[in-house]
Amino acid sequence: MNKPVAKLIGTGIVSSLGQDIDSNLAGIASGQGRYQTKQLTGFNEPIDAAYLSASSLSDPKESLEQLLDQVIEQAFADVELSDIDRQSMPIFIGSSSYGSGLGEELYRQALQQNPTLAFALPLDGFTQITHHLRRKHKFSGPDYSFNTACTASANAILAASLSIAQERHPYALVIGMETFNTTTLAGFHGMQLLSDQMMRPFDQRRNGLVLGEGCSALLFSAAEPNAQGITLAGGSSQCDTYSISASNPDGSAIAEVIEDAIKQSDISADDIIAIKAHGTASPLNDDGEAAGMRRVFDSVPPFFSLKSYIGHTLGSCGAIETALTSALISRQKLPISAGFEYADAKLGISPLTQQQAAPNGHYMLNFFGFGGNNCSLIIHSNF
Amino acid sequence: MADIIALGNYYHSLADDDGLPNIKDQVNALCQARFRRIDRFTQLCLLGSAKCLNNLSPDTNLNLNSTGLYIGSRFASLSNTISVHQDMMTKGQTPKPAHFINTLSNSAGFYVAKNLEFKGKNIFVSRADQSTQAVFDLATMDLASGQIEHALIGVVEESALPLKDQRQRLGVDAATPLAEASHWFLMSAQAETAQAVVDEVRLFNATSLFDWLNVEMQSALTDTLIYAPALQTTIIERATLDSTIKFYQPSDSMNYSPALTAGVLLDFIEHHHATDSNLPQTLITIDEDQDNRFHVIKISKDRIIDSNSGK
Repeated sequence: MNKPVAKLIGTGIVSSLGQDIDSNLAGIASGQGRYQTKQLTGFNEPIDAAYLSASSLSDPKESLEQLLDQVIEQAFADVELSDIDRQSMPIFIGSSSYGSGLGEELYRQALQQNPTLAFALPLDGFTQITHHLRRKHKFSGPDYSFNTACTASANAILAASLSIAQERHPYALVIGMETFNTTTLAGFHGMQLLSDQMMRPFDQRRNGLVLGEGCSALLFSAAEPNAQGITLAGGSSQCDTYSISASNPDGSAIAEVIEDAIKQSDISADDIIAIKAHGTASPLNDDGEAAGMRRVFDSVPPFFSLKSYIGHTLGSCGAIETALTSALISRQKLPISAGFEYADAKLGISPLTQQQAAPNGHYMLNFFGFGGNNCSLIIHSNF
Repeated sequence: MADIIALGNYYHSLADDDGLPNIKDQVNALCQARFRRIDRFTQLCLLGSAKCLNNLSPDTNLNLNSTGLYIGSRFASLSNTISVHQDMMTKGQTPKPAHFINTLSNSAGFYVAKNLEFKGKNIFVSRADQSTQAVFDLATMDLASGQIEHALIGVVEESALPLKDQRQRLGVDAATPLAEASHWFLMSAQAETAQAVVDEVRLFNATSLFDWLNVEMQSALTDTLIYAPALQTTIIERATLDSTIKFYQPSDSMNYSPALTAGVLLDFIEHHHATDSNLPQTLITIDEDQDNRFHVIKISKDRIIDSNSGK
């Protein structure tokens, strides 16, 4: 008997493009990349940092909880589960920031009230998401808060699929969450990684990131391997110790994780119909990613980046971009890679500039992060 | 479920009047590479992981490409992140690049992987004071999948000064003695020689916990110890057995840190020798969280062939 696979049965998403999946898809269909800034106050020099907000709330706790409530409601809207299945399902969370913004705000308030009593990091940021999910939404199954930079929620998806394959539980919930916090935005600003224009992944003029806020919930259930819909075929997660802030630009480490994902999915490179690239529009990342794809594929399949539309949502991009890619494929459309106009001869490949049909088959999604974390997922569509 | 084949341990109890011990020399002595601009959390991870690999039997064939690295922690990089927040909010300074990158919990995993030349999965996971259970659970799941051959697990908790702030941060009372800890376990899906076996990693509610526990104790009463300091009275009250339940007392006095359960597991493996048939060979740890969930790890030394201490 075949092992069960993880089938996507519910999706919730809130990003800077919109408050649900349809508004996000409409934004992507426009083909227009976006650029906004957020002003950071309290620094010695004014900082206007490239940032696409998803929440209109200024209180970080309210913002985090509202984003969670929205995506949970959407993901479970069309799914009927018993109370015990809902309460006991494992929850796999991926985020870079977790409750960092809440800790910052409490410290800020304490400094204003009584600086002698104030101390930094007054709360446990990692638990803020799980506490809310347990107390408001009554999820009491095992929880795992992954923090592997930009691969965090992609690693959460891999773990969720293993949990289902090993029949630990018939369901698994994945949450990707990134909310505004000063540390992240000021940190990227300090590293001079932020762009002064919309992101242009794989374009010769690419010059950096626009960060994005967003949250997604992916509800998976156990299914037969050839089930209708979107299923997770496999994936791989590896460590590249070339540099803490960039993957090896020769593409070797990225090629290894892509090849292993293909192997783990029991398919060949020729089976990949298209690729959702990580595509951060930073010169080094796109160099390494293009080189990695060229190493694996004789002819690189059509590929695109979603980050020009929603910004780089860091630890949540695994969940958010899997949700968006799955929705696009289910509607049988591959998007253009917004922001791209001029090919970079050094890369040797270019992303999609025209929408294409998305037939049934296997699609690859790539995620690479600080700390040498590389993750490649392969989903299968059957409609 | 999975075999523990090597241990690595760093533990230091903290006193209010003392500073944190400088561990840089120990790290440099054990690591192959010299790392610059690393923070204390990374130093703790490097120290414990290097000790663990040093304690591995030379006969073990460790495939560096298929060894997963799993670090669990409640707070991860603490003093560095505190410093970044203080600099931003009291001095108006943007984070320096190295300091910002070190706020990411997986930075420590990068340096451990680089030092040990690992290329496999590299995971950081947190679950408050139950990060030990979360990281053991993920590692055993990956081992069972066959995607990795070995899993190197670290449960690491840095402390920050002053300790009065640290106690508030941790939510413990002002008299609680604290510790810094870096506890490491190398696991294999099935080894020829093992120091202990991880039998179960489970999560229960109150009802299911005591149902499970009564069954466990009936079948292995004389050979099982329980470590659940906060629950001893409740367990005795709710036990359906007449015999006395035995509770585990760690050999060394251990102060509180969120890594305490990992320290107890390590202590049991190191100090309860299989050759002494009078000692119980199974340990069940039970941690209750703030939402009345019970996190359980069961390990045993039944299958031990080589019980060399990891110290």
